[in-house]
Amino acid sequence: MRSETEVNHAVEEYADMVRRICFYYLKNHTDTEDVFQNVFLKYMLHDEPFHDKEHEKAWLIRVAINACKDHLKSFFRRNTVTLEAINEMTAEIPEEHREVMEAILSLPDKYKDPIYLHYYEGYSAAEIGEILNKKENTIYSLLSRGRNILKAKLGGEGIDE
Amino acid sequence: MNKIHDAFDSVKADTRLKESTKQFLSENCTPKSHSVHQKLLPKIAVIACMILIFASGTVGYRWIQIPVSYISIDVNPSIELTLNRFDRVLSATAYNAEGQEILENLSLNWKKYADAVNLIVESKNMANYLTEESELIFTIAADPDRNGRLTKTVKSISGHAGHRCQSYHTDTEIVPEAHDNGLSLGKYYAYLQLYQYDGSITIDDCKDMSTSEIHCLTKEHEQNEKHWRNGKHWQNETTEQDEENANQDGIKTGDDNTSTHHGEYHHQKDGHE
Repeated sequence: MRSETEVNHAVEEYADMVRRICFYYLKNHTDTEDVFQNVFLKYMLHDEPFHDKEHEKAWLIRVAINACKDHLKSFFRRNTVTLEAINEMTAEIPEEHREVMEAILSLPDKYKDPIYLHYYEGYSAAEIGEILNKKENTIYSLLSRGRNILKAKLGGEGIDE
Repeated sequence: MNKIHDAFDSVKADTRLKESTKQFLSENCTPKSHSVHQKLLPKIAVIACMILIFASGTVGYRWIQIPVSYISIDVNPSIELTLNRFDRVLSATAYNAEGQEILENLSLNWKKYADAVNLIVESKNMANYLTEESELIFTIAADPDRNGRLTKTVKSISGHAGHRCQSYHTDTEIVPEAHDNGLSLGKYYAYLQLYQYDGSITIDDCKDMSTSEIHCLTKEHEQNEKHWRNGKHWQNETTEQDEENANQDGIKTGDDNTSTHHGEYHHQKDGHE
């Protein structure tokens, strides 16, 4: 088990990243808080050493994505999301980014991870493939289709390749 | 700037979320030593289970490897089967070159004893030795429960094969003695039988004879003994009559000589056994 100092340091360093993953998967603050805490609990209990910072970051991304998916597997959670809940989540987004974020949130789940990991974290298709355990070509096509959906909704401007 | 990047960048974990998470983790943080025990416990359990399985496997394997009974098959070839408690063949040993020749072409280990005996008796090489004059001698050393069963099966096998056969049974105590002397159980048992009548016979003499020949000599001695006893009995009757006559005549005779001879005979037998 990792020491409290080590875990607190990781919370400070990766909190925003885990929060963003929770944000595009989960539809309310309570679920986000549950999953967020679980991700760092797993980190605390994970004894295997990380090779480097990149390894640690990729591990946390994978754990956060899986924790969100597991959370959504619950029948009740999957079926009790209200429009109010979505509005509640996007309310915290500044006005100028709200339209883009709503477009991202309306994407099918399979596109969200590649879009986030590529456009925000700056990973290549090969690296995303490794994190998500998918073929590089699959990632390319997911990125391309996701981008096209966003372009169709938002217009091509401001969305790079 | 990329719009997607900027949109994501606006999502941040607020201080309240971070603090509540730190609080949650701190509450769930158990003392390190306890955690080490908890972590080691499943490993210890797995190792203990593996040791248990390995130990019980080893003990079980050794248990079924313990020799419990022996079947010696002697014609001229001399072969001995060692059986475990499930009457399976643990080993087949040849005690002469002819026996070796037969075993070379057979794989008998872990076979049921009846199948093993059948394979030996019916083997091509054995056919050369099973002539009309020869006799198949089975000597079985086992506890009384097994003895009856083994003897019955062995007899029925040789009966089916149409060979003349004799079977003897003894206890397992003489087996190590037989092996120490380089003889199969069957031949050593035959030697012991003959030695009761002929103290001059040696193990080396027996090595050059077939088991059947040794048993024949024993039988001859038995016959002679019988005749001698009958003769003595008849003589005793005569002596008693003479004695009566002598008593009548005032002369006394005794049978000390007879009792001394029997005494010597029993001494040899007991001393040997």
